[in-house]
Amino acid sequence: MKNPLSTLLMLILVLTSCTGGPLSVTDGVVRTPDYDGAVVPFNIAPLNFCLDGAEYARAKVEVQGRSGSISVRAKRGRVMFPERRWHRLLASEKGNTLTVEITSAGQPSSFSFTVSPDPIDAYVTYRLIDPSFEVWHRIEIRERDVTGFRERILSDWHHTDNSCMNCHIHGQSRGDLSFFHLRGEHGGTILNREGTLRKLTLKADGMPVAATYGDFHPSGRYAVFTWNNVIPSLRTLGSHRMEVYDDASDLLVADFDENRLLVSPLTSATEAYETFPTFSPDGRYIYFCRADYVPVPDSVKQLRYSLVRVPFDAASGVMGDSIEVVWDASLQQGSASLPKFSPDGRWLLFCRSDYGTFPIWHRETQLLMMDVSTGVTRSPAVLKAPDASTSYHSWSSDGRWIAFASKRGDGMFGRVWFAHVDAEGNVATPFTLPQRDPEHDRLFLRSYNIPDLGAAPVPFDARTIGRLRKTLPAEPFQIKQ
Amino acid sequence: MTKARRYVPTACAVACAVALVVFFHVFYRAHLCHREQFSLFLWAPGPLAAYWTSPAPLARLVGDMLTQFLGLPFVGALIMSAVLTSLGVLVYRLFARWIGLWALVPAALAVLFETGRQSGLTYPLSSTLQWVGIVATLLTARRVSRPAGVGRAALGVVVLAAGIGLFGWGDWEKRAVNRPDMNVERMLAVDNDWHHGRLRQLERRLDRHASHPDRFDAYYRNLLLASQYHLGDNLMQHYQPFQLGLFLPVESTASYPIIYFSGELWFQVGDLTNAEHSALLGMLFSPNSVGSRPLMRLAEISLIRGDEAAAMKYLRLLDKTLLYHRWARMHMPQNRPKEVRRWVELKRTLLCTTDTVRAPMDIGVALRHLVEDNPDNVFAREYLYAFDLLGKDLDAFMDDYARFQPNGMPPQRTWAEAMLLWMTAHGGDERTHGDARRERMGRDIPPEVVDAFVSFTEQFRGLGSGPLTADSQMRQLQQKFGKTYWFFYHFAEMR
Repeated sequence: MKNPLSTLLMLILVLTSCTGGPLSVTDGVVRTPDYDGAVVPFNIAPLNFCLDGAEYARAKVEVQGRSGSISVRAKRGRVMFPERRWHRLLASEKGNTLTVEITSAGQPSSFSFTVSPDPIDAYVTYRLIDPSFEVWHRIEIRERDVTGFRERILSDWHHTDNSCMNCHIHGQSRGDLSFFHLRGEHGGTILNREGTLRKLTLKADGMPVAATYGDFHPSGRYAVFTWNNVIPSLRTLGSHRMEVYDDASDLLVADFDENRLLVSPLTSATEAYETFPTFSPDGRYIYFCRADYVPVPDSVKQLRYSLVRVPFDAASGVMGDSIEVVWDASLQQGSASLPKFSPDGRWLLFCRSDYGTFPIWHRETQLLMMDVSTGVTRSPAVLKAPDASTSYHSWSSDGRWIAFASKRGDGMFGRVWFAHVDAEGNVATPFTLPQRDPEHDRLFLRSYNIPDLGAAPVPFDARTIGRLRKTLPAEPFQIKQ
Repeated sequence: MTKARRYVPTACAVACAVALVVFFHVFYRAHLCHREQFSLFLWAPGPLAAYWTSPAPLARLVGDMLTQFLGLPFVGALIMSAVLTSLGVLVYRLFARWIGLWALVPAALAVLFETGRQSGLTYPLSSTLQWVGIVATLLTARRVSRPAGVGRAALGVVVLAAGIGLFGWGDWEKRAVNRPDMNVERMLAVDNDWHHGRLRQLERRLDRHASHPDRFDAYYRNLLLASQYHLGDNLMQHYQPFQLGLFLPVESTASYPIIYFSGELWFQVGDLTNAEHSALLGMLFSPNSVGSRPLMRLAEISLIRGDEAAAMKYLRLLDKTLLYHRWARMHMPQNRPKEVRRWVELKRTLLCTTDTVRAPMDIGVALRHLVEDNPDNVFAREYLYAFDLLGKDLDAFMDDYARFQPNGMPPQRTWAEAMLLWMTAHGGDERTHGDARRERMGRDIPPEVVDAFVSFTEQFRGLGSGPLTADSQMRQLQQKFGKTYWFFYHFAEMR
C-alpha cells in the first residue's frame, strides 16, 4: 500500500495545477486566457496565462520581441511574467508582433500578439455581481489599474448596509467626472464632478422609480437619464434563463447646476419605451433607444428598440421637437441597446439583439459599429462570440480602445475584454483583462458588469461613500417641462 | 490537592471531548453536513494565497480547511470536539496559574459559549480557531518572556504580534450568544436524507414528527410520495397546508436553506430555470456565498441543459477540492461514464421544449407548461393535479386531468375522490354530457371510492340533524373521512 501522505501530496499537486476543460485550444495546447492574435496596448499588465495538463506544469515560456525577450518557467501550469521586465519589453516593442514560445515535456507550442503603440486608459471601473437573476447581494464597484494588478474598492456592501448599487459611469473617461446610483435607504445618485462629491435624488413626482441608465453631457453640467421600471422574468427553454424588460420608461435630462429634471412630451410618451440614452460628443443631440408599446411579457419578442436622436440645446436646456430614427429596428429586424460614441463622434457602437432591451441575457447579442457620417453599420467579426453576449462597452479617452463585458468562455459569468479600434473603425482581436493569478477568472464566481474606461482614478473609495451615504442629505430635484 | 490538580483537568478535558463528539455526531450531525455543503475549500494557489491578505489568515485557512471534512461521519464530530476542547484546555492553562482548579470554570464557559455559537449556521469554524489562536498566543508569549529580561520581553512582543497577525481582527459574528436549535437540525436532517437518497430514513423521520407537521415536512413528504409515484394515493394521508406544502418560497424573508431546498422540487420536475434560480440564490445568500452542494447542482443543471461550458465552470471549481475532485472528473466530458451519460439523457427527457416568459415562482403555470411539453413527466403531472386540488380548484383539476391523464390509466385515490366531488357539483352540466373523455373518467373511478363517497355524502348532509350533537357528528365524520379529499375540500381552512 502506498504511503497515504504521499498519496495526499500527489492529489494536492494535481489539484493545485491548472487543470480542467478547454477554453482555447490551438496546436493541442490549452491556454487560458488565450491571447493569440490579440492586439494589446504597450502599457497593459502582464498577460499571464494558464497551461492545462501536467506536462506543462513546469513549461518554459519565452516572449520574444525584436529587441529583447522574457523567459519564465510555469509554476504548476501558471505562467506569470515579472511586471517591470514585461513593461520594459512592451515599451520597446511598440508596433511589433511578439512570439510566445512554450517548451516542455509535452508538445511545443507558440502563439503571438501585437503590441499597439496606442496606450489604453489606465483605469477601468466595473461592478462585481453574482449572476443571480433578479436579486443582489454583496455588490461592489471596483477600479482596476490595467497597467498592473492594483484594484481599489470604490463602493461596497460593507459600507452601505448591503445596498444595491448601479454601475459607475465616467464622463469622457475623466476621473473627476462620474456618477453611480446607490439604492435603498440613504441612497441617491453619487455625482463626482470636478472631484467634488454630491448625493442627488434623481426622482421627482410622477416618476415611479429613480433615474436608471444615463450618460454625461460633454459640458458636465447635464446628464441624460431614463427611468425604467425593470421587470425580470424567467424563461424556460435551454440556457435562456431570463428575459428582463421595462413595462414603463421615460427620458429626462438632469441639470446639475440648477437641480432640475428637464422633460419633454416627446420623450415621455406612454405609447413608447425609452432607454439607454447618451449625448453625442458635441452635446447637440441625445441618442437613445426607443420602442413602440407592446404588451409585455406576452409580446416581448415583438419588443424592438430603434436607435433615435432628438436635438438638445445646452444653453437653454431644451430638447428639440422631433425624433429622428438613426437605426430602424423594424427594418433591421433587431433591437438596439447601449449606444456609445467614440470621443471624436465618428463611430457609434451599440448592441444588437433579436429583440428586447437587456442584452446580457441574450446570447445572440453582438456589437455593431456605425459610421455616423454615413449611417453605414458593420458588425466587427472579431467581437462576435458564439453563444455568449457581448455588451456594456465603453470607449477610451482617445477612441483607440473599447472595453466591453462578455460571457464568452462559460456563458454565465461576464468578464472584461478590450479591443483596439483603428482610425478607420477596424476592430482588432480582443483580449481579456489580465489577472495576476491567471487562474483567477476560472475560479471566480462573480460577473464583471459594465466595464468603463477612465484616464485617471476617481477621487473616492468605499469608506468615503459609506460616510457620505450616512451624513450627506440627498439634494432634491424638481421637474421642469 | 496536587493529585487532583493533575488528574481533574485531564478527566474534565476527556469528558468534554467525549460529550462533544456524542453531541455533534448523534444530535447535531446534519448541521455539520450542511455546513460542509455550503463551504468550498479550493486547493489552488490563488485562493490559498488570498488567505494571507485577509484578516486572521491562519485561523481562516485552518478553519476552512477543516470545514471541508465536517460532513464525514465521526470526522466532523471529532474535528468540532478537538477544536472546542483545545479552546477549553488552553483557557484552563491560561488561568490555572492564578486560580488553580477554579480555572475549569472559565474553561467550561468558553467551551459552552463557543459550542453554542458553533451551533449556528453562520458562525465559521475559523472564529473559534481565532480564540484558540489568541489564547495559545498569550500562553506562548507568557512562556517565552520568562525569566524576565529585555530579550525575553522582546520575544514575547514578537510572539504577540505574530499571534495577532495570524489570528486577530477576524470577522466576529454580530450575534453574541447562540444555542443549538433542534428544529433547524431536524429540518437539515430531513433535507440531508433526501439529498443522499435515504428515502426510508426520510420517511421514518417524517413519521416521527407527524404529530407536529409543518410546511417543510409537507414539502419533503410530497417530494417523497411523488418520487414513489404515490402522491395521488396518499396526498390526503398527510398534513397538507394547502398549496404551500408543494413548494418552498423564494423570497426575501426566506432563509438561505429554504431558498436552496426549494430547488429540489424544480430539479425533480425538470424546470431547470427555477432549479437554477433556487440554487444560485440559495448559494448567494449562504454565509460564504459558495458551497460544494450548490455547485454540484449547478453543474448538473448545466449538463442536462447541454451547456457544457457553464458545467465546466462549476466542475473546474469542484475539481480543486479534495472531496469532490473525483465527482467533478466523472462529470467532465472526457471522463463521463455510461451511468452519468444515461442519467443526463433521462433528465433531458423532462425538459421543456417550448419557451415561455413568466414570473419566478409562478407554480401552476410552470407545472402545466412542463406537462404540456412532456405528458410523460409523471412527477410534474402529479404535482399539477395536487396543486389544483390543494388550491380547491376542481375545475382546473378536471381540465388538467382530462388533458394530461394517459388513456387507460385508472385514477389514484385522491384524484378519484376529487372527480366525484366535481361530478356531483356538475351532474347536469353540459360539460360532462357529450364529453366522452369525462364520461370515461367517471367510469374509471373504483367502485369502493364511489361507495365511500355515498357514505360520506349521507353523513355530510346529515350534519346538524339526528340524535347526536353536531360536535360528535363532526368527530365521527372526521374519524371516518378525515383523510379524504372530500373532507379537506369542505372543511380545511387556511389559518
